[in-house]
Amino acid sequence: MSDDRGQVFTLEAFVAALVVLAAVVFALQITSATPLSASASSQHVENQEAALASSLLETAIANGSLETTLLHWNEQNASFEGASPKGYYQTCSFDTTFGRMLARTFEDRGMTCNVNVRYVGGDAQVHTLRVVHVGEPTDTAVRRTILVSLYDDDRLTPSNRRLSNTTASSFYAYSDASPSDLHQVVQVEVVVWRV
Amino acid sequence: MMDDRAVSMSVQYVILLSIVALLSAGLFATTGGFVHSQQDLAVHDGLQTVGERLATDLTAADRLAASSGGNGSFEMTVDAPRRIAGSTYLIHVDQSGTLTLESVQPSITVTVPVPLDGNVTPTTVSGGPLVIHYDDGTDKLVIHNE
Amino acid sequence: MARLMGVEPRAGSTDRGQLLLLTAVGIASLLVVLALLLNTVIFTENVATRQSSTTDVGDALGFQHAAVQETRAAIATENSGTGTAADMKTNVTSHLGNWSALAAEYAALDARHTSVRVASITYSANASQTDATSDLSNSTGAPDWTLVEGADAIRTFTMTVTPSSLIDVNGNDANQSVLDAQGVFAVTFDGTTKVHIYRNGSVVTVRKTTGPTDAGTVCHDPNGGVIDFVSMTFNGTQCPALDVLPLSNSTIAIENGDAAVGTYSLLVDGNAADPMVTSRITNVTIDVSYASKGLTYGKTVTVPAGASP
Repeated sequence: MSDDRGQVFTLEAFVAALVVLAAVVFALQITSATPLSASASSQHVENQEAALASSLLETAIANGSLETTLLHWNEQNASFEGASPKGYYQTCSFDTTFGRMLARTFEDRGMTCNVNVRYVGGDAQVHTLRVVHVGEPTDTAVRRTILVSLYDDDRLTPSNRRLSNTTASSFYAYSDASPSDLHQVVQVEVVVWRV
Repeated sequence: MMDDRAVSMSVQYVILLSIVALLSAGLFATTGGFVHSQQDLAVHDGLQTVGERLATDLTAADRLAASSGGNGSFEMTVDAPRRIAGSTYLIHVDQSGTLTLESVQPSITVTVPVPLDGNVTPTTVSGGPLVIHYDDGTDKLVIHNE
Repeated sequence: MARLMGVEPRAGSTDRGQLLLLTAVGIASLLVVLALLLNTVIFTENVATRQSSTTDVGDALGFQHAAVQETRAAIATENSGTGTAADMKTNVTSHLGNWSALAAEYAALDARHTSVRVASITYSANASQTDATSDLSNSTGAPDWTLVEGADAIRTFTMTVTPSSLIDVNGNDANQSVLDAQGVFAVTFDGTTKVHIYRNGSVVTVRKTTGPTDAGTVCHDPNGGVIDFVSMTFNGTQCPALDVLPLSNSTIAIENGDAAVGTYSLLVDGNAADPMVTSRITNVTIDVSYASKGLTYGKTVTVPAGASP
């Protein structure tokens, strides 16, 4: 009988320990993971990058350099002037005022950027065109956009041709729809991330 | 001799039982108290976070109202959870914009000062999705539940 | 008795074991509750790092800024050209309508709704003649013509007439109808208040009358000079006969413009009523609206025209 007692004791204690262990394992399993748990970024850094991108775009609009770069379009090659054979710049610093601003703001700080321009095509759909494509952005990239108005009187810089004299095949943002002197409104998007 | 054994058996049983009962009661009390204090901390943390978020949104709404200059109106939604650590809570807003968040169970209060330029209508709302509304007619920010 | 001895120890041992088990189950449930609490804290941490509606505030203000800039550009384009007020309104409305539609396409990509609408436009009318040898009739030669309708405020209105071109009434200037009968040059406001400019012998006279039989107020100057309706001076001296302000939705017209030769310059808030008067936009009032998931914003902005070129 004392053997039974001992065995029952041990059994009960063993089961009790198992129950506690199972509870601990269960508790560890139900601890939730959040989207930022595995992320390498900090919200503060992302906010700073976003603020830089916003202020850069505002400045570029104010001094007209963004519009100049958008109009730096070679009609024969149907690509930006001085771009790589793929039609877009492959580095975040290129030879216009806006390109130099990008280089000073981002590349000097150890970041890099992609720049895309969106326009409404003749089919009333929004199309995206790459201006700068360095690579695929990381998960921690920040994106800022701004609107730019192009007028009929603006001229493409290489050929000095007025926008109203371009055709759909020669200029990406060509539009024949608007009766006023506003030719097209495009949206410029800058994607910034740290390398 | 059987009587002695019987007495010693029951005494031994009682002593063992009381020791185990004492141990388990002690363990329960400690763990229960620990969980309670952790719940208090979690509720305090949650109220603080929600309060700070609401303060940020209120400051942004105040900035927007100031720039509106009495010529526009807007509605801003604030995503606040309905319950924090299982407890519902109330948010008091007073004239100068100080937020007081009070949870119902356990009863914890957190105060968040908000620097405002304009005016807020004093009100008490229950925790949950909120709407900050500005009307150029009254030139006051109004907070209400969705 | 053996049975009795056997039962007791067994009863004691099973009771103790169950107590241990109960304690274990109790602690296990407390641990699970602790884990749930941990989840709450992690969730709170995640809530703290979420983007709040403050970024929407920046977007809304940014859109409003862009809309105001675009309006300013549209006003500048219209004011640098020539066109009637109706043309200007059509152009500005279609310009901003286009811009609003295109901006809304891009905003829709981000699940936002934006729009700009022209609420109202105020104009100013600008008329001037710098050739001192031509008379004050309009370009087609009509002596009676309307310059501005709906005038609210005169910004500048100066006139210089050659005294020798004026009609000499020889003292016959009792009241308005007498002067009208002689074909005297007059600037009329709403057709009832008339400021006649004529000669009495060699003295240049300005007379303001409010009705056909009203004698009104008079001022003289032997040599003539600059007539300024805003500062109410005639050749530099105060002249109560030039007191025609304030105006409210008034019509400014010229009668018998062939009875005077000289120059004039007029800038008034109102709508031009003659091809010789050029319109300028002074203000455009736009309704800006922005809507996203966390913010619904609307504002009416009055955009003034920039400095005139």
